This record gives sequence, C-alpha cells and structure tokens, in this order.
Amino acid sequence: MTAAPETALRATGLCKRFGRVVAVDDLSFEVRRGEVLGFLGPNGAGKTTTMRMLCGLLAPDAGAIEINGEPLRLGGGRVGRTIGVAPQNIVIWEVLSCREQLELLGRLYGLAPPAARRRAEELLAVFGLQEKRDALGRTLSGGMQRRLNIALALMHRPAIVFLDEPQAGLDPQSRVVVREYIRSLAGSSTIIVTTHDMEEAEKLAHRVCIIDHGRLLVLDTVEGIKAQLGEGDVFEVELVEEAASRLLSLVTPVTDPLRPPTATANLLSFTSLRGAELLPLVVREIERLGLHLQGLTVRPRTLEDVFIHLTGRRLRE
Amino acid sequence: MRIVAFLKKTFLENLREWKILSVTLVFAPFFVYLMHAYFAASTPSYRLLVVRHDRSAGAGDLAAEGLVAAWRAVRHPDGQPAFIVKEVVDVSAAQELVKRREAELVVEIPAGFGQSLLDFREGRSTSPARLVNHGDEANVRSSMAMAYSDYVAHLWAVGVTGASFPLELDVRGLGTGRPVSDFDLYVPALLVLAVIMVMFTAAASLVREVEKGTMTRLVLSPLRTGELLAAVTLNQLVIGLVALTLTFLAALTVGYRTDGSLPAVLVVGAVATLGVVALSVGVAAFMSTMFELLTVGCFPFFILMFFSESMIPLPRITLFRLLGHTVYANDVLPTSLAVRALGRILNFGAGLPDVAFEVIGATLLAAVYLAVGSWLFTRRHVAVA
Repeated sequence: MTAAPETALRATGLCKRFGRVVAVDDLSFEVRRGEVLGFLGPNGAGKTTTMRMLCGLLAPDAGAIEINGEPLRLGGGRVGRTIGVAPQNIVIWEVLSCREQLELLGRLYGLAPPAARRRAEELLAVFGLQEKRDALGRTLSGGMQRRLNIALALMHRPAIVFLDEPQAGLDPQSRVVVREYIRSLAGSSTIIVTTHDMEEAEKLAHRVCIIDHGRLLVLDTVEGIKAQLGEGDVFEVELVEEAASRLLSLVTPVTDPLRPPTATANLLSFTSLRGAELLPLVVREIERLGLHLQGLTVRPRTLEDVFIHLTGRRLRE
Repeated sequence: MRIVAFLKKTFLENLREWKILSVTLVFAPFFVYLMHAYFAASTPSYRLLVVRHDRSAGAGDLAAEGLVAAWRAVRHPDGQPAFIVKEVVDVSAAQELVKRREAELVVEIPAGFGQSLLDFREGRSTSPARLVNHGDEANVRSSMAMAYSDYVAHLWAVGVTGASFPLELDVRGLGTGRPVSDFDLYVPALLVLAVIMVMFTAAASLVREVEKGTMTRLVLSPLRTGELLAAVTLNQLVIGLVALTLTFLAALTVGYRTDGSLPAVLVVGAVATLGVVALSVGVAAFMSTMFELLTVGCFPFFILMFFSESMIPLPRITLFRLLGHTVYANDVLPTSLAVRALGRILNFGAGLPDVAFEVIGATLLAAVYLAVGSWLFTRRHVAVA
C-alpha cells in the first residue's frame, strides 16, 4: 500500500515491546503533508517510543513506516535525511558556539559554507539568539538552549519535523516565538509535536492524535474531537467539604450516560446542555445537605476535558 | 566535506576541553623530567666503594693504590669515568650503602695484597692475591659493576706482574658507540606513553556525543560512521604527534641525544597513535558517560601502559617466530611493537627498513582493532542511538 500524495507520513500496524511491556500496540495513522499534528498521551502512553520509531532511531517489532511514500529504515537512511528532530531533552554541543553548531549541521546535510552561514544566521534571528551567536552552548540559559535545540532540528529545512515537548521550560515570550515559527513552517513542512500542554496543542495543531497504552484513541481536528463527545458546557462545582460524591445522584439522571459526571473530593464536574436549569437545583441540594459552596465554574469544553475523558484521571508513571 | 566539517568540530572541542587536552600533552613530558631526575642524574658510572686494608708501600708498583688508580682511569667512550671510586674504612657501612643502592659495589683489598702480588711475580708463591667483592645480586647494576671491576683488576694484575693472560678478549659493541644510560632506554617508552594518553581524548570525543545525546543528531544526519571515526582519528593523530614531539623535546632539554632518524620516529609514532585510537573506539563502545570513561576507562589505559612496557620493562614471553622475527605475548598491542621499534631507532641507530616488521605489525594490529572497535561502537551507540 502506497501513501497518497498528500500523506507525508504513514504508520501501519506499529508494535514495540520492551521485554514484557507492550509500549506500542498496533498503531496506525497518517499525517498529512503540511499539517501540524499534535501527538498527545499521558506519561508512559508510548509517545516517545513511537516518535523514535518514526524518526528511524528505533526498529519496530512489527509494522511499517513510510515517509513521503518511501519506506523508512533504521538510522533514517536516505529518507531520514528529510526529517528534523528536536528531542525532549536538550541535545546541543556544549563547547560549540550557537553559530558553529548550526553551521556544522548545515555542512553535514550538504550545505556549502556560505549557505550554511546564511541559514544559521536566519535561524539565530528567528529564535532570538543573534546576540549569543558566539556563545558556547553550555553558557546559554535553559530557555536559549531549548530554542537552539529546536533551531538545530530545522537547519536543513526538513520536510517533516518532530518536536518533542518544544515549549517545555520556555518563558511566555519564548513560547510565542516558537509557536509562531512552528505555525509559519506549516504548509512547507509537516510538523509533529508532542506536548502535555493541551492549550498549546489547541492553539498549534491542525489535528490531534491521542494515544494511550500504545494504542490510538482518536485522531481528528480539535473541534472534531470535541464534537465526538457531544455538545454542552462543562460545569464545575467546588465545595468547602470533601463531599462532592453526595451530589452525583442529583446530576447523573440529567447528563449524557456516555459522559457521566465525576466527583473527586470536593469537586463535582459534569457536561450538560441543561446547565442553566440544573444549577439552581444543585445549589438547593448543597444547602439541603448542609454543605457549603466554594466556587462555581461554567466554561466551554477544552481539549483537556476530552483528553481526561479518553485517558482517565488515574496518575501515570 | 562532511569529514572536514566534523574534523573542525572535534578539533574545536578538544581545544575548548583544554584540561583533558593539557593532561594528554604534558603527561609524558612530565614523566621525562621525572625519569631523568631518577635515572639520568645517576650517570652510567658505577659507584665503587674500596676498603683498602693493605696500606704497605713496600710493594712498589704492586701496591693496592695502583689498582685503585687503575679503576679511576677507566673511561667510557664519551670520557665519563666508568667508576666513581671512593675509599672507605667501614665495610659494614659500605655494605649498607650497596643494600640501599647508593653504591653498586664494595671491594675489599686485604692486607698483604701488594706483597702477595710481588711474591707471585718473583716466583716466591703461586697463590694469587685476593680481592673480596660485596655486591647485591638482586641489582643488575651491582652485578655489572662487579664483572667490570673484576675485569679491570685482572688486566691491571696481568700488567704489573707480567703474567700471561690465558684469554684474549675482542669486544665489539653492537650499539652506536655512544653510551646508553638507563634514562636513554626509557625515552622510547615515554614517547609511546605520550601517544597512549590519546586514548582519553579519542574516547572522550565519542563518549561525549553519546552522553549528551548529540549522537542522535549525527545518526540522523548524512554523516556516515566511517566519516565520523575518520575525522576523530585524524584529529587524534595530530594530538598524538604533538604529544610525541613535546615529549621528545622534553628529553632533548635534559640532554638526551640520538642519531636515529626523526622521520622514522614520526612514522612509528603515527602508527602507534592509530593503534591507540583504534583501541579507544573499542573502549568508547562500552562507555556511556565521561565519568565512566575517566574511571572505568582507566583499566584499559593501564593495561596498555603496563603491557606496552611504557613504564616498566617486563620479561618477554615468546609466542612464536614469524618471518625470522620473534613474536612476544605483548606484541598483541601495537604500542608494544612501537616501543621496540623506537628503541632500535633512537638508541641503536636503526632505520625504518630495520623496523619494518614492527611497523607493519603495528599497522595491521591497528587496522584489526579499528575494525572491531567500529563494529562494537556502531552496534552499541550508532544503531540504537
């Protein structure tokens, strides 16, 4: 089976085990050319393992990966040259200056010295590192190192860019810079971003892929994923007492059985189209039970709500 | 082009990690000065303590003082005395000095020594005069001093008594005629020690990429493993030859002299460096962090240093003969062959053709170790970076 022309990356039936642990279990999906795909999942869901396989750094036990219609082999090979990777850990050369390490990668990818210099200057400007062009990697602040980490992935103008938690540890200004640059790349490059920041994923991604236990849970646009869970706003009732579960019997009959309310300690949360009717009843019930209301929130459903709905509230690794 | 880019990068890294580079470059020169302080200052002259019980002047030219003068008169070809003779009176104190290796030999000239010789010359007695040697059989220099002083004493006795000497000795030196001190014998080994230090900088160039995760970027780039290793090897070759040159210059500053061919020394040094880099690639295959390299990595370093005889001469275990050359157990190390080749070039005036067996052997060993090291490194760090 060959990927359609608009498909930049196709993963088919990917499996990976580490001993008895199944990290990735029959995972299949496609990434369209020029889109930003948010790759989400709780800790231990299999994101990093999947990313390493997609980059050609880890061999799958089963399944196949195609990049622009060509099979990817371990180590990347020729196809792998079209990939750029910004790992979650900062991976820079500590005793090379920003300019030197960008130029090095440019030269390794076949750019002539003047072209490598120009491209390095361009990226230094984009990521606000011009004044640090001659500073050694180890002397940069954490945020600067992370920006350099991303710039290194982009030096050779890759067709597909993997960004693993690109905004972790960045200040708000840097997050804006990185976000805007990633958006500007969309169209010319295909970008796959892993993140735990749902708000960032909503802002950045054209489509979102959520995996858990190594399996694909959903792949769609953010709006599409929200729509799969039905309509309605999210209501959160916060009590002074840790007795939210005592309100469940009141709201359960009037919420969608597929999206039951949740009660955790002092917080009752439910989604409903009839929230306006329900709230007075809830407040009266709180008074009747002798409880005390601490806060009340009504908000539109977010990607995080969907994520929690799909992956649960249980803490992971 | 990729090799040039990566070569420049490793070169810059080595320069900026100046502490490791500095230790690599100054380690062997430091030992040159240290060895010189211990060995060269001790001079090739043997320290002879003479206890002269025979004080009679009646023996004329046969008096014991004539023998003492004969020892004092013997010179090495460069004019240095063969013996530094000191007359003492206390035998026990002199023996202690020999035990402490502050002298090589105590010679007692018994009372009546001159008279015995006189009686022998004039046919009044056939009993020879006696000398008593107190030497340390565990000290090679002591044994050498004993043999040499005995030889001089015999020549003197034959001369003054007119007796016929039953043997005629024709001594033909195999060296350059220039005296070779203990320190001189250490210099080739110290040159190879300079090269062995490259093990740390070479392995560090690779382990650093693994530890910092930058190996991932290199694996994904078009840079091939062979190009990576070639760039590291070229860089380390330069460092190895600089270290070797500094060590040689250090030896020259303390008076070391050689008639050997310097280009031949550089060729052997380059081959030895390649051997060390090849072994370093294998070492780097088993290390993941710089801490591991600088702790666990000391083990292969000392193995290399010890069995190459870079610091301590070892008895040789013969394995077999090949093409008319004896192959020893520690010849499995390219550096061991390099020490032997440099010794012959520097101290015995051999040329490159004379040490072709060692040079070709070391080159082949380096190639084998590099192939094995590359395979191990690729399996451990490149294929699954």
